[in-house]
Amino acid sequence: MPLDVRVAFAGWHLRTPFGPGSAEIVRALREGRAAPARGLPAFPGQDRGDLTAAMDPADFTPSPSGLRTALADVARPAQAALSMPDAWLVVGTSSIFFLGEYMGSGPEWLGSCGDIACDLAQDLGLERAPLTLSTACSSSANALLLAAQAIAREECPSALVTGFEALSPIALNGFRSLMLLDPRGCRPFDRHRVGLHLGEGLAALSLQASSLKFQDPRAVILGGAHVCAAMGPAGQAPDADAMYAVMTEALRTARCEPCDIVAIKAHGLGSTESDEAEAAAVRRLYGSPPPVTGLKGTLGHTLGASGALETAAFLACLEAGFVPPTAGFGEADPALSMAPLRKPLAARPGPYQLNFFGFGASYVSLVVGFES
Amino acid sequence: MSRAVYLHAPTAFAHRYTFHDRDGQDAFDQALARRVQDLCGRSLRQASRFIRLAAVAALTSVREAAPPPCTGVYLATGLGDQRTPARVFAQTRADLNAVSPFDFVNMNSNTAAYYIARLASLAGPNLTISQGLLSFEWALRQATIAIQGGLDHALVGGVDESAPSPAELERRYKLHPGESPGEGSAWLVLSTEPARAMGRLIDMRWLSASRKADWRQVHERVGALAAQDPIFVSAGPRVPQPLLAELIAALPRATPRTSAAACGDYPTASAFAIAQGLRDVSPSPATLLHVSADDHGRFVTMLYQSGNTL
Repeated sequence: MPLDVRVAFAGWHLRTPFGPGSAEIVRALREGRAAPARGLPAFPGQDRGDLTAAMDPADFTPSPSGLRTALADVARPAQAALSMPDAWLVVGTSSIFFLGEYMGSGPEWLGSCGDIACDLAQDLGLERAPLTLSTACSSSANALLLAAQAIAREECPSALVTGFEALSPIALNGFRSLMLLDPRGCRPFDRHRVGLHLGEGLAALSLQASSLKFQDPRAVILGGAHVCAAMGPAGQAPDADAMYAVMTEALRTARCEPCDIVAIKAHGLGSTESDEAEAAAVRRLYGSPPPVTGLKGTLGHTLGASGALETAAFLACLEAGFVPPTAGFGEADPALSMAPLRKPLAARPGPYQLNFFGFGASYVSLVVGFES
Repeated sequence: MSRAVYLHAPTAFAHRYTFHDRDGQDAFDQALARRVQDLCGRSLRQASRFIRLAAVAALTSVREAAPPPCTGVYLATGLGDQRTPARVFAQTRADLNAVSPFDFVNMNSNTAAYYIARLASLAGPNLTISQGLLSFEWALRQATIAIQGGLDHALVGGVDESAPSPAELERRYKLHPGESPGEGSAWLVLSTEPARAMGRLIDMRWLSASRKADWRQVHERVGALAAQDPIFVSAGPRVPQPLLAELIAALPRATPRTSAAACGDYPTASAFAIAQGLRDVSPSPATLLHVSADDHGRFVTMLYQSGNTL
């Protein structure tokens, strides 16, 4: 659905293992650094040495009982940037099933995702009923798209979109059972890539109809699309045709041609198949693609939070004047006919395409316009 | 709504769950397995119980309505899969290498919606919504919005599985006095096509209890719509009885409908009430009003009509 009303990003805020706010994550992305290691909660008597991507303790991720406070702390600065603070809260998280007992050091039930969204709405003084989407790794990307479409339909003047994810033994071992983890961390589009590493974080972005702002917005959502590749020939395996379809549709809704796109923030999972499929889709759509980058080498794969977190981090980088390089990438894979950025690239105004692909064949692509 | 939204193929599959009735649980699971086999031609052995529960009613609706491939799927669940995460958790505690990849994929939040789309060959939008007691209402709303935006068909359902034990139920969904455990899967096909429709969606509103003027508008809308038709009023879990009584009193011909005896209480029980209500009343013309509530003072009313001249 084309966005006939300009939907601007009023503000964003995030918290990552690098710390609260944008400064440290922007620095880390500019330098192509990986996330600091973090200790995982251990079950009594269990040897953690076998866990991939371990770990030294790091000061991040609230205890389960602190999630509510942490979410509000991240959301408030984004909310404060709105012209009218009573926004529609849309939450994207893959954690319906992982919450509580799977996040902390022992069994503790935090409540359902819906409860968390209602608590957050209450903490922020938001009167509109919140909505939680859970579409695995595309959750908060879908939330951004849904919120933007609601503003474009003039159903609400503003929206606050949040995404959150925390490391858990369940997720870690689940991805390990799928043989998708790389002990060296995520290496997007690298010739020797074998998988991903998990990340965690919280992010909040506020959106509003740009007519409400007196100053020109820094960034806008120009368009976006969502596709479920349920009919792909290989089940939930990465589907290049569906990736191509969602990227194409996103450009169409943004009224952009491929030649308009300044750069692509790829999903860049670092798995053999996913990167191959995404590269094929990019080549098919663009022919000769613009610069491509991926953030998971630094942030890790933050699952349902990746939409909100990577969008916020990417926008923060653009505002700092650069498109981030692809941490973890070392050697080009000839089979992909595509190599992502190795060094920061000067940002310039124009549209950028951001991809987010998830389990359940849920694919989202957003087109974001960077204005200044 | 500029495009009329018709309701097709309501399917309601649920039961009250009794923890100590092992025979009853087994009977339900066996019935579930038989229906899955009948609908899919195979057992879906690798799918979780939650996925099979979601699929059985969704695919029944699909079989009846035969929506086209571009149909969207909107799955609502308040608590999601209750058993698979517990199993994966136990696997992790026992042995870091013991996690089943099938279990891990199955426990992902949107795997059930993916299964339904794949089994029914539906390539439209696909969303999983989890917003507590208003999950199904949000799914209906998002599907309706998509239809107003050009989607012609949407498969919308509410699915919740019972927790595996009373202790887990107490932790995840504290039953209020008078409530009983339940689980279910109930679906509708929304369409712009009036042929063979069993109902038509007229109105959905988000309200708060305190705004009396909004509730008066609901009364007036029902009254204006119903003419001489019977009016049925149903409610989702946790709708305060005084509010419901006041609503029924304001509608002279209204008859209350309850479904908790059949399905028990769970976050998406509204889906069962709405689907079952439509199935029971149709094709006779009637006006149906369903009221839902969450635990934060928010209400949703859904006004729909049944009949053979929609």
